Amino acid sequence: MTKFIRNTSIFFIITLLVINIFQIIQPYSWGNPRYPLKIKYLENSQKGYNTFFFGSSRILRHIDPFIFDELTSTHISSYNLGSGATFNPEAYFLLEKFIHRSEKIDQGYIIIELQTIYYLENNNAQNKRVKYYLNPREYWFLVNTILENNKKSNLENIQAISEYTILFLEKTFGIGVMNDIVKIIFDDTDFDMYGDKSLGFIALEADSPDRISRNQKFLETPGSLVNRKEEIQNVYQKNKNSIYSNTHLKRIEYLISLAKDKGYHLIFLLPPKLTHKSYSSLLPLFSEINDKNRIDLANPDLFPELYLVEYSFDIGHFNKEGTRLYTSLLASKFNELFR
Amino acid sequence: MLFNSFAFAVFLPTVFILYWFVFKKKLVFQNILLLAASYFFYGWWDWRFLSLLFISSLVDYIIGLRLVAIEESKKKNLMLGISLLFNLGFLGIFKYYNFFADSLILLLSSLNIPLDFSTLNIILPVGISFYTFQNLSYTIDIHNGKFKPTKDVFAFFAFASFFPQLVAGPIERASALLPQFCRDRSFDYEKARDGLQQILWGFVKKIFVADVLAPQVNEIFKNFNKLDGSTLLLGAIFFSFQIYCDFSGYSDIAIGTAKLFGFDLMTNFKAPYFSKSVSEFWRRWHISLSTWFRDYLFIPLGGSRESKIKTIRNIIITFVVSGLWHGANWTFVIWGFINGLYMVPAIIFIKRHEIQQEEKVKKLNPVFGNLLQIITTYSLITLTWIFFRSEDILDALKYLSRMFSRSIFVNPGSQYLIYFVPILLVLILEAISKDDFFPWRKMNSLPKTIRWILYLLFALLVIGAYQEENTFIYFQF
Repeated sequence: MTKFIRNTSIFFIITLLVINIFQIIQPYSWGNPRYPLKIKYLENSQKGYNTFFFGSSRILRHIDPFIFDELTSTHISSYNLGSGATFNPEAYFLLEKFIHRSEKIDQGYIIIELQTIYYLENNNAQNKRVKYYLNPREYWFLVNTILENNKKSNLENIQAISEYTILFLEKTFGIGVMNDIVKIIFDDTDFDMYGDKSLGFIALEADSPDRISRNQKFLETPGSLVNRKEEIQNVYQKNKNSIYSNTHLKRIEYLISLAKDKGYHLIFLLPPKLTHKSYSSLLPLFSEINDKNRIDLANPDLFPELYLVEYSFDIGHFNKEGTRLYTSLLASKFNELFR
Repeated sequence: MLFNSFAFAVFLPTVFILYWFVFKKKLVFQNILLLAASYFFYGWWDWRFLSLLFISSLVDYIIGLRLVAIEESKKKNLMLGISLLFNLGFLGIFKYYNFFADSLILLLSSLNIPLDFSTLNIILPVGISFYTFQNLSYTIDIHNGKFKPTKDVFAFFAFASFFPQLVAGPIERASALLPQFCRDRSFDYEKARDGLQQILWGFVKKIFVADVLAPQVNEIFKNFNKLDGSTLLLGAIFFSFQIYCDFSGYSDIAIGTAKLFGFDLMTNFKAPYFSKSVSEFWRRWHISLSTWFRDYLFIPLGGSRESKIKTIRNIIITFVVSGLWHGANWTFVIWGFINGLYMVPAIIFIKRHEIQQEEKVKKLNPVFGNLLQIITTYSLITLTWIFFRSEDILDALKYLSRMFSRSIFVNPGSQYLIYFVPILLVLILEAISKDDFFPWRKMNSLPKTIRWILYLLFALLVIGAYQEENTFIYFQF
């Protein structure tokens, strides 16, 4: 029996080592669909960008670098590194890796969308997107942040931790991960669409004609956006002294410090049109961030135009006109920050 | 709980450690552990059907004891009848009620006889076809005086629910498996090592071959109306290996897992695609089921003892029922029927004693003549797989018609070539293993370093090819 346990354990450890070495040598962002292509473009580009936008589709579809550069200082040259469904902590993982790999810069800026931790929906539980980045640090960050979340029930939190624990173990043992890595190694998708002509920004209308039906559905029930706006207004009025996650705040402070060491000024952007539950968690956290490191574009009382149907593609995203408006407002707030 | 799941990866080592370290002192404790683990394993899928498993086991346990207590043959027959009624009754209701109801409605409506018949909204309990047959072998063998029942309730219930083979076989005979629950088991390094090797090989077949072929097969069978005959031919070949590797892979994992606990299960597959005749194929494919049908249906019908006509009748009935066992669809019935028809020439043209003679295991590197026989047998079997895989008979016929059209000569494209890599891996290793049908035993003679490198390569193949949980095909049975 001893021999059996010993041999089995040794084999198990060797296999684990090989799997993890294989994972470590891959590009860190391999599980994200758009981000690696954008990084590839940046590595091949001669243009020196000094401002970057990080986050989900609320960055990818909402911030046009051409407009942003035009409305801000002449030395700003920005690039949109947003990618659809890039939630936390994936966004923080990518940001940290990006900063670590960047050369030190004289004066740069990074604007990242402030998000809550992503609670897995059933249909995403087996997707590589939710586990490729799950190293022990990110896993621990997730567990602690979830435990501190008083906006969800204990059962929801336990379920979330269980799901992420299984995903973390699967990622560690390469289960359901190696297959995707191998596919990506042989993927030769061109990064042109994220190049000089777009600077990483892709409008929703331009990407896929299938999304048009989503827009049409939204326009049939525009009241949903009005309701959302009212819910958010309530949260702004009532949520001033709620508890925030200490772990999350510490991470934010760490990221700000890390960025600063490389010459980047990190700004957390509170985007509009999230669910009111998201703002219940985010507002207390947002208010703890240093003024110079945050921009609020979510408050419906200050930015009612961002909740108009005429600027919306769907309940959570802007259309082209909305993007123009949003980017302009962001540029304006950015200028105020560094006046 | 699927074998290829995270839950099983936690479950198996836990039960193993408890079995050999905590409960090893007494046999009864080990049996209780296996019983609890098996119910947990089955209940993981749907706890509501544990009652079905329990009732089926309880009925057969009681009937087994009553059968030896009763002298009168009429009462013995009655007891057996009750066992058959319970086991086949459950199977009939859960698996076949809707099928027969729909078929009856269709038949009567074609004769302009309207019939209002409600179908049931029933979930098919996983593995019911397997464990009912295993339990039936217990009561039938006791009735026929071939086996004595056990009074050890834990041993019996553990036998009836033994998790490695509960949901997809091999279908064990009570005479072979139950005694293993009644005698002390001590850890055997060689057996456990063999078990792990067999589990690894099973996972290679399931994940690196079957699951890799599955999406192609699904795509080809879904769109067969738009594809060339050559692509449809590839689809049939891919499915033949998908179903073989899926099912035999599961069997290997089951047998290997049982070895870890000191149990020997029967071999269920013996390199069937190297068979040189259809009758040989059926002695190498799903051996536990084909021998079950041979012993409990074919032979009681008269077997091959009587005239050739009756032998043919018995063969056809056995194969049709076997087809029906696989699923509540006419495609399975036709599949069984065609396989039965394939056996007819052998009955007509070959002497009786040659049919009954055990096929001697021959070397698997044949000369041209043998190769031709192997290819012919494989082709005949693969044609029947088209019925097995198709949604209905019409689709199967259209598939075949399209496959054998002129477009069979069209180049299907080089994108399918890569899928022959896993197929060739299986064929080559089975060819190397020759008489053994289990590649690893040959590899045990290799130096330890080479063996470990091979283990590592296979483990990486499995992990690399693994996708999200794919159910084993035979679970639907």
